[in-house]
Amino acid sequence: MLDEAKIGELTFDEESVRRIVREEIERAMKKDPAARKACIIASKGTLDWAYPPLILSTAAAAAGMDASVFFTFYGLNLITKGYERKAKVSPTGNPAMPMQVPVADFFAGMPGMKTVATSMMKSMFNRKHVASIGELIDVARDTGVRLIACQMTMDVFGYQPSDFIEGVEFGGAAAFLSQARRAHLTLFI
Amino acid sequence: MTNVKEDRLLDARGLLCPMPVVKAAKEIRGLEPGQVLKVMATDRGAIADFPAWAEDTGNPLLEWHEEGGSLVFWFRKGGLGGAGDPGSPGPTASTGDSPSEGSVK
Repeated sequence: MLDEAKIGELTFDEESVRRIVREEIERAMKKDPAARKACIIASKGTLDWAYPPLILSTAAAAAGMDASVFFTFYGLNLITKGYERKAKVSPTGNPAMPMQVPVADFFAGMPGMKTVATSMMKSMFNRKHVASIGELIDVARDTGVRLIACQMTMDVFGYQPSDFIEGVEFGGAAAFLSQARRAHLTLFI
Repeated sequence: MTNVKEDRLLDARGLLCPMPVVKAAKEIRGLEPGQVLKVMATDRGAIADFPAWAEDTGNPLLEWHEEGGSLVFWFRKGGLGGAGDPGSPGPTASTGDSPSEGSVK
């Protein structure tokens, strides 16, 4: 039991000691650099999955965080030049995708359905004033979000550094981990 | 109605997540500590997002309410050095702290 604490000439009662400890912990937590760091992996390259890593990283930067996105496998597409023109979303194997007209699984796989689904999603997002992928990429670069391309996937899929938009960095798993271990917020998308 | 007078107005009506927060972060950077930013938005998510953003960036949310179909928020730019103020938004905070990381008692 703690009734009072003596430091030099000063005596503190229990309530004061608890308050001081609480304030010191709060102060230390605010200084924790890991609380201000977000490391996100973007592993998917379809139009629908392009949004979450870009929305979260730009929102993190807006909240004063030091954010980085590591693009690997199909996620690499997001930072290639002209991605938005080529981006597609497929109704195949994507039963939760809201379609204006219900499409049976058999027809979902028919040629042309991907184009239909893609233009539907683009027009829906546009109508609701959701930022485009291009706009989000611009915001990310303007607000200091680090965009890192996975070197191994680049080599496997045959990408050249010139295939990517300006400002992209290149790195591997160790580069990501070295940042991620210093971040409280890490996401695999 | 509030009697706070804003120093800058941001019209974020029609924009969806994350753009209201992204634009507010950009606007508030141009203000002096203590100045007030008023933001108008229509994104319902802003009701949860702006209080959280205000706390994370140390720019207190003074007040918010609905007004003629819009959500209106007032923020005071932080950085006056008061207790519990983690400083203004920006990537500086984490880099500034890292050198002392190893020397914490």
